[in-house]
Amino acid sequence: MSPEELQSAISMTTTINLEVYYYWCTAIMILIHAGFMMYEMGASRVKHTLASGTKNVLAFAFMIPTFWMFGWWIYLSMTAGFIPNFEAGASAVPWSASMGPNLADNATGVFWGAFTLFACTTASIMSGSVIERIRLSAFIILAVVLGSVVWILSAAWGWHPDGWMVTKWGYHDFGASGVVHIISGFFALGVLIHLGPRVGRFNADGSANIIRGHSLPMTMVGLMVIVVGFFGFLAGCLFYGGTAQWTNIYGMPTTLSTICFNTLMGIAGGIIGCYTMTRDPFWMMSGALCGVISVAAGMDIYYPGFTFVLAFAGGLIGPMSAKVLERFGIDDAVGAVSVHGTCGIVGLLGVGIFAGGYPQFSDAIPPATLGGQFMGMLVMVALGFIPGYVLGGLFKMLGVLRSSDAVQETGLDLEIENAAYPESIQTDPKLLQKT
Amino acid sequence: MDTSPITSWEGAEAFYTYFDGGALFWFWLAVVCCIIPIVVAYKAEQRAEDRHK
Repeated sequence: MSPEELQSAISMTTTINLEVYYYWCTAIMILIHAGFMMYEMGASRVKHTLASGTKNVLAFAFMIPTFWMFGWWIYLSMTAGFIPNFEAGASAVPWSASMGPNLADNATGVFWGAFTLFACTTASIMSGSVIERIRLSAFIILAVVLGSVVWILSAAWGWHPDGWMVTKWGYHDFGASGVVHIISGFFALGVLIHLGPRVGRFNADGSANIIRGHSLPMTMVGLMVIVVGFFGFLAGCLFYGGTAQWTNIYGMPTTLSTICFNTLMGIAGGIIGCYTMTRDPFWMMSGALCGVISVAAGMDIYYPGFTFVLAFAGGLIGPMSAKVLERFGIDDAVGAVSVHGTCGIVGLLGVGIFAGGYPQFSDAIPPATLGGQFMGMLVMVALGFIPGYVLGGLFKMLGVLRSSDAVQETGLDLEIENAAYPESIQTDPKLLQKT
Repeated sequence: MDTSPITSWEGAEAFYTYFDGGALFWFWLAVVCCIIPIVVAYKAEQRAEDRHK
């Protein structure tokens, strides 16, 4: 083998490593979606179970073509704000050479796939909060707007080395506390304000009733599946460019070992924190998400002991935030606004408060500061909330957002003409006597 | 808060926050965070035991 052939073989091995890595990260991330589906179906009452599951599957399916049609283009072309750079986005239009089989491009498909699954995650986050009363057609449109437009616009701004929040403020959000979780949590809040509570959730005096899902075990297993999926999600936040070291998405060196330390410590801290706060099995498992989201933004640099403590704090804050929302009459069926929105804020500010002084990849980028992280947090809250609020209001005005109270009382499975457990439907005792 | 133990990525090794100082504080706080929930669980169990006496 000549030196040129050897060099070519080494280069191809590097390329294939990159391709294989993101391919399997994408596959593992599908577990987040599977887990959210179990989580939400378990949190639904029997009569709404299949409607909740159908919603999740369709969100996943609609995200993929729409992210191919325009999501990836938004990421590459809108790093400077709302005005697209058509030259930068030229390789991401669906009819470009890179957006299909191409022997000269091993990277675009796997990166597109990983980002598509991040988009699916955002839809899953909103999905849980609106169960048992949102209309499927409205939900699909909201999911596409959140996943294939809003989240990826936030990623272009804060999760891209050329994003304006990165170059202007040194915004640091390694594991997407802001660009995925704040965006999704606050988009959901905007929708929830118009959607209103489930029938029977609040009494006339404003006090709240607890609506229990039909299968807490399914919810708990679902959350454990999400935890597995997070390994793909957070590993997919690393960049492997065939150079001497892994980097984060901003080009700062890090290691996969770092992410392993802090993913596990974050999950554990959140579970223990939520358990301490509530001793409730549902919240204990949601604590895994509270924890990992509270540390995600800085998990490429945090000390694991600190990660555990911050995640523990996130596990205390998540349920408290849910109580506050409940007092305002917001019916967030699974606590998604608190788990993702509030804990996402903890994650972003955590970097500003506890992780200053790190050199950036380039001298042209300012270091991460509390001020920069705070401004970034405000942008993320606004970018998530406003589209959700406006679209939710529009759909409400058109009368297409919410299922009627009568359908809710019968069960949303009526709208999809199916039932999760037909054999368990109660039979009228009088009918039994006749047979 | 400046917690970075490095000023340049060139030649950097351990780069986690508080490596230069303070890591032990977070270590012991993590230990406390592991003990508190066990005490909370024990008290809840005791209450349940007492109710059934």
